[in-house]
Amino acid sequence: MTIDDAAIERLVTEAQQGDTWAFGMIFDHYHGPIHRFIASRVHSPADAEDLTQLVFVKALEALPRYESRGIPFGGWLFRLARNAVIDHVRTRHDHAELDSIIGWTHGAAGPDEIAVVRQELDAVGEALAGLTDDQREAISLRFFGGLSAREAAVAMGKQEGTVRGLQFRAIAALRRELGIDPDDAVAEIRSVRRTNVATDG
Amino acid sequence: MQAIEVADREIERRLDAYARARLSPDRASTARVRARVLREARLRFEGSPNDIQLAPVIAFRANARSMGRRVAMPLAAAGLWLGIAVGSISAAQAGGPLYPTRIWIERATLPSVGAERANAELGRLDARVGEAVSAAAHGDAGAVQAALEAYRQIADEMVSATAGDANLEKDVAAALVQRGTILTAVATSLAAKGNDTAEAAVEASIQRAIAHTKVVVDALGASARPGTGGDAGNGTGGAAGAGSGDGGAGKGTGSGAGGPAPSSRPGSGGGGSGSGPVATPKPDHTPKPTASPDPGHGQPEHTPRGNE
Repeated sequence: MTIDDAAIERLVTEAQQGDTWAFGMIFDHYHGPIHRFIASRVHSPADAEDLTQLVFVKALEALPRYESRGIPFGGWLFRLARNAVIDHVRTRHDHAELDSIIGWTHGAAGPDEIAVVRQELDAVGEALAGLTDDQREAISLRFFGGLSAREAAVAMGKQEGTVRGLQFRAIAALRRELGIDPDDAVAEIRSVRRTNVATDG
Repeated sequence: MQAIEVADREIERRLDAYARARLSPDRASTARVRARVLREARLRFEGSPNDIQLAPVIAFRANARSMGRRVAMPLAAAGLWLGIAVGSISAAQAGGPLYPTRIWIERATLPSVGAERANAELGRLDARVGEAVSAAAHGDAGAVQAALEAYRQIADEMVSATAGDANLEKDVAAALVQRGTILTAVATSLAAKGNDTAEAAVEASIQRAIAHTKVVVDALGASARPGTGGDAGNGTGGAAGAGSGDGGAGKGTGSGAGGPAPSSRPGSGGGGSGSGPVATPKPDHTPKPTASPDPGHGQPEHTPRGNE
């Protein structure tokens, strides 16, 4: 389900007026991205679930004080999520983020996990662990949370250009770490095209 | 430049695969969190002080630690009273000896008629679903059964409370469909887990509640149908979507259900003066599942949370 920004703003206004249904729609739209962002930053699935719930309850409390004023709602909500993660890590006095990214397994293997080579997923986890905190956060917000650069900037409290820079450097690092050479990638695509042309011909 | 773009797409693909396989919430988790959050929302937006008093406290680890330090001494002094209170609360939880009393008190303090009563009943339904989902996550068949028995009673009471008001009946039917979706998601996740005896009993209870919900919704649909004249907005939609990780599309069948126009609320478009209410048919009584422990399988009753 895709809801555009204007529809989100309308839902937020209705929720601010005490409409549970509107808040439910907001929950449905943002639950997956928020959970993925949090899960990429904390220790366990149970913590991710608790924190996701906490974020939405906090959003309920803070909703009357939310004013759009050019700040996208997604950025505002993810800022709550980011603060919840920071508080969680600080309170637990551990640095679960690195461990979690490397070693997190999501319960029993699901169909997605079967479809994608497990080794590849582990490699991605390890490559993410090699990024700086800011780079990893930018990647989590942009790719796991699905935010725009502007929304990610609001969530991180940084300039949009800074977030784009972080993302650029993070992707370059991931490319290096995962052994994805741009020239090789193009060569591979060309070879696939050639094969397809030969097959079609 | 093209080479870099291609490599970036490959990175994007791998990150996406990683997110789907390792980070996305499962259906049961989504249903659990949705039930709790929306219950909290309902309490804040529409709840009576009575509901708030009866609501179980959502405790968060971060707050608990700093609070614990600050109130250690007064807590020790109040230990006796706390013990009594905890005993009472646990006895009043689903499956506990005081649970029927708690349900009775809830019912006795409901508003007498109209939309207020229907809203309060919806709040109670959410509370029961929340209790059932939570108990199911812990494999507590007795608590699930008690919560869902109360759920069935409340659903029946809602039917009689909304009798004669076609709009209210439609809203209630939509709300029941939504709860049914949550219960179905929970039942599906349990079915996928295996055939542990406790889980089978829990699943049987949930299936009975789903069947009862369907009967009630059908009855409401039958009573609201005459006179509606095929209104285009007559959907049984709403903010269902429980269980779907991304977006949770609405379950509406009418135009505008779950769509990008939030102001056109699905299910609320219908009008029509329905004929008199139809008496709710009682569902067939499903036999109780026998909770005979399987000596061959020494599985623990308590299912760890979060690994479903």
